[in-house]
Amino acid sequence: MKNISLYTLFIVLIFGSCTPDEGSITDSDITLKFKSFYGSDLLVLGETYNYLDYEVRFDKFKYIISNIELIDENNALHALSDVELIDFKDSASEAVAAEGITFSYSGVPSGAYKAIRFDFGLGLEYLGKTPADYSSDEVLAQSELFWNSWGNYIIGKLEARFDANNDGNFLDETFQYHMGGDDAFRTVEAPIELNLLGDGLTELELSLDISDIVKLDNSLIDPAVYSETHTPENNWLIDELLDNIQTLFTAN
Amino acid sequence: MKKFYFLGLFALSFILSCSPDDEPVVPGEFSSIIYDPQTYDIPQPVGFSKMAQPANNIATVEGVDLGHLLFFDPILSADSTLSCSGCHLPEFGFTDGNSVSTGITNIAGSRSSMSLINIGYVSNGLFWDGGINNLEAQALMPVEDPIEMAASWPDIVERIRTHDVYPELFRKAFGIESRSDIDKFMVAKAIAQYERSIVSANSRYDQYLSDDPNFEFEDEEFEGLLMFFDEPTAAADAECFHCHGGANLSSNEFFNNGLDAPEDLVDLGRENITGNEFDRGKFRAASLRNLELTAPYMHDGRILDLESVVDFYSDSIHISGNLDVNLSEPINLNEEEKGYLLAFLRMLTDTSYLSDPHFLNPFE
Repeated sequence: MKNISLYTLFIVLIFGSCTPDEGSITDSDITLKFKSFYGSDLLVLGETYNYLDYEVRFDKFKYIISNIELIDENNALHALSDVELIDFKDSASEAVAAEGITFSYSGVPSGAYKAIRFDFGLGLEYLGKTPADYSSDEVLAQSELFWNSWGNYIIGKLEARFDANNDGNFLDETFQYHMGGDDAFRTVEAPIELNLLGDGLTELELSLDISDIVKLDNSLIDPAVYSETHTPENNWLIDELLDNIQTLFTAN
Repeated sequence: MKKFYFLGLFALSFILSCSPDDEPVVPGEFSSIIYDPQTYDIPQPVGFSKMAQPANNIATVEGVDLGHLLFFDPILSADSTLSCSGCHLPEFGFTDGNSVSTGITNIAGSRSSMSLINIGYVSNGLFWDGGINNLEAQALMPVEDPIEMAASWPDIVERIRTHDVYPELFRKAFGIESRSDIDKFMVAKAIAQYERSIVSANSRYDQYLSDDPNFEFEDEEFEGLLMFFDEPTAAADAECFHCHGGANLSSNEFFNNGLDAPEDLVDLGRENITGNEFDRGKFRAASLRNLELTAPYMHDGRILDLESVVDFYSDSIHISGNLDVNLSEPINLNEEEKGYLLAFLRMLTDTSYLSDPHFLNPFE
């Protein structure tokens, strides 16, 4: 009898000890897909769109989001990630733009979720941080995202060029709307109807329409008047853009 | 007694069942040589991030030392005349001082040798067009490139396997059991480890960044810094930092900087990698560290001196469909302002590494 007990113990321990660290069976996977639009069109870098009386081409659109969480039906928060960079640098074709920028997360508790929340930009806990605080393969180590002279991160860049006189030269007017500053973040909360069942990868698409970002008093900003934000006199424009962005994300 | 038997069986089974799929260790020709690699601490200068390394090639003292030898050893070329350092000489900031590089067959390449100073901090791909992902992959390429070392890896690996010194060094760096374990990937790993150890950050600019109490700006330098970083100054804004920001003075991004009018464009740059016309004429914004040492400038070495670089950005940018938005307005610097900018750019020179044997040819 003792032999049987010991042998059973041995079998249990063998199998138990060698089992990989599998997650709970109630965990799910989720992918966030970020897309950008100009009106009803996908944003394709280098493509021509109408803007006021001009034709516009966008050269760059990227932004940082932080503290990304799902909110379940009981208002409990489930963290997905600390920081992500959404950079549309490769969206120079319709096909790539349609693919969006994706981030996948596993280990999300299965269940029903009613909202996704994140900070557009970097929350206050990142104040005073610099690339030197991070490993060179992390998003916040990227020097291109840090503004030495202001001592903080550039949390969003939107750059465009305009053909104001239809001569084919798209440098008649430009804008470089770079967003940064100590309080340059907005908490975004977008409603969702999401039921994670743990039976496969669920995708949540988050979209942003640029034509609604670059507005003042509900009118498109004239690049001939405001061509950049990173000057002391135009700094207020960053707040205007961020206020617009805060309400613009749609999640499906 | 039976209890002990079962416990022993249990312990043995436990150990066997949980072992990774390693082959049994068979004593090899190097088993008497101790394999105990020591961590190599890559410096983290003020303002720099901690350098990330691939998990399967973390730098060790033994690996870096081996890479140091391989980097300077012409054994890697077909006729044993050209080493990696042939195109990356320490005295030229680890470039070769030529507009474009030539290999053992004297056929000129189309692009200028890039500096390896602080190369471990370069992200977003390597080369002028970001066409290769990491140092390990890059180190494999020149050996078989017909206009560089023009060799074949099987031949080179055989040379190294039969070398008097290298096999033992591979044992110490990578734990090989016999010389036949050496392969091209191991060679590339060692070279990549050494390249990541090429860190230079002891310039006057670094003294400023580290609040060195002995540091004092000269007037022109300070004005140049203000122009470079878009700080308030009576001088013109140069705003170079948009492309050359951060501790390593590179955004690691790709830009069309207006070198050519569209009809004169020969090298498509980043478009060759992405296939997108949107990337036409875009090249990496290289680090400006040790700029004084790395002439000639631009991806094809067309600009011979630093003064001419500043003249170009001030007055000679060509308009094209892909010209970077930040360069759309000519900055038209006057001579005094150009002098300020040049003074700041010269602050970025660090020659202290040239007296450190770690950066020099060990065969000389």
